[in-house]
Amino acid sequence: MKIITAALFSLTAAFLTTYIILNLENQYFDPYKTEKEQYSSIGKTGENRIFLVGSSHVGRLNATFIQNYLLNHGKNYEVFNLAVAGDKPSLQLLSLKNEILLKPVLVVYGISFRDFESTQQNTSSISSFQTFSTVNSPLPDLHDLFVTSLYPITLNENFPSFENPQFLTLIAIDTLVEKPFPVSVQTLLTVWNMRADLQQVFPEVKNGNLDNLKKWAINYGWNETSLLYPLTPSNKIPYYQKSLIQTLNGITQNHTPFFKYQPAMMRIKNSTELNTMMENPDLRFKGFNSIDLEKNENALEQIVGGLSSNNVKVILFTTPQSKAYLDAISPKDKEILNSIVQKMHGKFGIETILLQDKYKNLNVWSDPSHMSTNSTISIYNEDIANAILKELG
Amino acid sequence: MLFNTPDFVIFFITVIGVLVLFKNRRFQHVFILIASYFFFYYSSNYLITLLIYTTIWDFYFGNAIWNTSSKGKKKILLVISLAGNLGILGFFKYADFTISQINALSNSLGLSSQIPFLNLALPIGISFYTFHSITYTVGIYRQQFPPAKSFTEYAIFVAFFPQLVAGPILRAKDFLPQLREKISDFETGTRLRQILIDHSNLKIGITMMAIGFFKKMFFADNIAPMVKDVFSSPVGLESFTIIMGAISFGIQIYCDFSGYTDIALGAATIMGFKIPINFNRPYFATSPSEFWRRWHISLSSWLKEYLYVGLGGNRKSKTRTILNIFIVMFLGGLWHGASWNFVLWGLLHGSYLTIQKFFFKKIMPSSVKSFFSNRIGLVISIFITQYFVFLAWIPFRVKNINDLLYSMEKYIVIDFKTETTYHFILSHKFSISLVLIFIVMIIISYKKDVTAEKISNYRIRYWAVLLIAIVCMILLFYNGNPESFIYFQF
Repeated sequence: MKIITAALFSLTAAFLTTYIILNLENQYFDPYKTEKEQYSSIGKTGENRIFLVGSSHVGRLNATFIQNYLLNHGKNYEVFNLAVAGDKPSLQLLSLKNEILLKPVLVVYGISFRDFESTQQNTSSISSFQTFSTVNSPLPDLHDLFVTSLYPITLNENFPSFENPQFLTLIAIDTLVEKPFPVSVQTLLTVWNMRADLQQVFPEVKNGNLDNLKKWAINYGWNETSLLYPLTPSNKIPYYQKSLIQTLNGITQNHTPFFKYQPAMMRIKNSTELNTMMENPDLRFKGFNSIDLEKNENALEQIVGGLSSNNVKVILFTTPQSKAYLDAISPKDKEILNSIVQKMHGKFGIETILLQDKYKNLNVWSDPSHMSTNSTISIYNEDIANAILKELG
Repeated sequence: MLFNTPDFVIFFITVIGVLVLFKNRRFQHVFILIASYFFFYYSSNYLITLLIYTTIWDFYFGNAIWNTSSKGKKKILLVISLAGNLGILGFFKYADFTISQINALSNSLGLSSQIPFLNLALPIGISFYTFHSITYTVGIYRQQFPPAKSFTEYAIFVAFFPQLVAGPILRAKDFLPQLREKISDFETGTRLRQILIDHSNLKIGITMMAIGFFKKMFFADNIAPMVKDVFSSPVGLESFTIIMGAISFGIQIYCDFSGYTDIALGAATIMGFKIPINFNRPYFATSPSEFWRRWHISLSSWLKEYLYVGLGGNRKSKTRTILNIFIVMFLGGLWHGASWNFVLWGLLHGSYLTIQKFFFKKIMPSSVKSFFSNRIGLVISIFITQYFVFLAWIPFRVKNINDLLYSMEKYIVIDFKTETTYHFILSHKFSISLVLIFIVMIIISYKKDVTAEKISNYRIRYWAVLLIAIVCMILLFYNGNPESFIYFQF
C-alpha cells in the first residue's frame, strides 16, 4: 500500500510540477507572441493583400513571382506566402483569427493527402515495411475508439502547454543561459537594412533601439562568421530554424515569413531518383484514419466558412504531386481527397482546383511530393496566378 | 499498443487492478491470456489470427511429439512444426523482398516480366512469438520438459503481453514452470500459481518501468531527430558528423530497445514473473564475442542454442566453424529485416567474431594479451570494440546503398573537416547534450554498479523523489509525438 501510494503521489507531483513549470514559462514566453508580431507587421503593409496558405507544398510557390505576374496583368496586390512546413487544417485553424483580422482580399489555400493523413505511428523510419491499415480491416479499431473518447480533453484549448513541452522547456533554458552578444552592432544593422522582413518585425531599430533584435539574434545562435542568418521567428514551427539568407532564385523573399528555402529545393530529380526516394516510408502517404480525417476536415470547413463569412474570397486547391507519390496511393484514398474539395465547393460556393495530377509526369520535382523551386519551372506559379486573376475578375 | 502511450498505462493499471481484486487462480490465468490478446489486437487488429494460429499449431505438435515413441516420427513432426512456424514468418516477412530480388535479377538479365508485389502487412512481433514457439517444440523434442498441461498455459507463454511484440525471447522451459506453484527451488506442482502482487516485486517492477520509460522517452526519442538529420541524407556530411551520428544511433537504439526491455521486465516482475534480462552494459564489451553476450542476450543465446549448435558449432573443422558463424550472423541479420543492409550488419559482426576467434587469439603474443588484461588495456579494448560496433550500426540504420557507402567511408577514413560539423552541433545542441549526459550516466552506473534492484532498495521517500524527477524530465522534454520502439518492426 505504501509503495502504491508513493508511486501515485510521485506521478501526481510530477504532472503538477510539469504543468506549473510549463504554464509559468507560457507567461514569459508566449508561443503565439512572435506570430502576432509577424501578423501585425503584415498589417502595416498596403491594403490589397492576397495570402497563400498551406504546408510546404504551398511553400514552393514564389510569392514575388505571383505578385509580379498579377501586376503585369494590371492587378496591384501584395502577395504573402504564409505556408508553414508540416501545416494541416487543424493547425491552420489556429491562425484563422489573425488572418481574418488582416482582411486579405483573397486566400489561396493548398491542401494535399498529407493534410488529412493518419498521424498514428506504428512504424519506425528505419526500415521500410507495411503494417496493416486500419482502413482496410473489417474488425473494430480499438485505438480509434480510445482516442475518440479522449477527444474532449485533447482538443481543449486550455492545454496548450502539452502540445510541445519540449519547445517551451528549451526556450526557457536558452533564455536562462546568458550568452554574449555574437555579432557587432554594425553587422546587425547592415543585415537589418537588407532584410525587409526584419524591418517589419523590428521597426524600432530605426530609432536606435536594438534590444529586441539582439535578443532574437541570441536566441537563434547568430554568429558573425557564420553563414546562418535566421529567419524571422515563427512559433508555428516547433524547432529552431536556421537557414541561409532567404532568397529564392536570387530574389529576397520578404513575404514568406514562415517557410525557409534551401538550395536542395532547386534540384530537379528524375523518375528513377524519385522512385528510389519512395522506398523511404517517411516520404510515403500513410493512409487515412477516421480520427485525423474528421478532425482536419472539420477544421478545413471552419477555415473556409470563417473566411467566407468575413467576405474573404477563397480558392481551395489540391497541391501537385509526382507520379511516384501518386502511384503509391489507392484510388479510394484519392477519391476521398477529391470528395473533400467537392464538399467545400458545394457548401461554400468557393473556387476549387484539382492540381494533384496535373504535373505528375513532368520533370519538375525535387522530391516525390514537392515541386522544385528552380527558376526554369514557372508552371505552378503561373497556374496559381491565373486562378487568382480569374477569381479577382 | 505502444508502451509509451496513455493507452498502455491505463491498460496495465487495469490489468493489475483486476489481478489484485480477483484471487481465483484459474480466473487470473485466463484473464492474463485475454488481456494479452487484447493488447495484441489493439495494435495488430486482424493479424491476431496469426498469433492464435501459431499457438494452436505448436500446442498440437508439442503434444504429438511428446506422445510419439518413434524417434524418426518425432523428428518428422518437429520438422513440420518448424516449417509451419518459419513458413508463416518467411512468407509475411520475406515474400516481397524475395519478389523484389527476383525482379531485380530479371531486369539485369533483360527479361521484361515483373512479379507484382503482394504488399503484405508485417505482423508486429511475429519474429518474437515465432521464436518463443520454436523453443517449446524443440524443448519437447529434446525431452527437456513435458508439454504444457493446458492450452491456456501454453497460450499465455506465447502471448504474454510484456514481451509479446519485442521480446525478450522467452524459453518455454523457463517460463512455463512459473505458471505453476513452486514446491521447491527445483520442482513445481500441478496447481496453478496464484498471481500475487507483493511489495518487493512491485517496487522493483515500478523502478524498472520508470527507468525504461526514461531511457526510451527522454533519451532515445530526443536523440532520434538528430540521427534522422544525419542519416536521411548523409552525402556531403563531414566525417565527424557521421561518427557523431553513428554513436548517437548506437545510443538511441540501445536506449530504445533496452528501455522497452526494462518496461517489459518491470511489468512482468510486478505480476511475479521472472523474464530474462536482454542487455548487460553492451557498450562496455571488450571484444565482439563479449558484445554478443551483453547485447540482445535472448536472441544471441537463442541463435547459439538452436542454430549454431545445431549446425555443429565449433565441434567440427575450423572452416566449418567459420561457416557456421557466418550462417548464424547472416540469418541473425536477416531476422532483423528483409533488407541487405541488415544482412551486411550481421555479416560485419560475423567477420568480427571470426577475426577475434581465429586470429587474435592465435597470433597475438602473450605480452600483448596480458597488456589487454590490465585496466588500461581493458579500456583500450572497449574503445576498439565499440569503434567496430558503431561502424556496424551504420548499415543497420542506412538503407540506401549510396548513402551507406558514403557514411561508412567517412567513418573509416576521417577527413578531419569541422566546418559543417560545428554548425551541425549548434543546431542540435539538445540532442548532443543528451548523448553526452548518457555517456556520463552509464559510466557512473557502471563504476558504482547501479541497478534497478539497488535503486528499489532506497528508502521510500528517496525512491519517490527519484520517480518524480524521472517523470518530470520525461514530461518536460516530451515533443508531442510518441515514437514507436525500433524493435517493434522485427
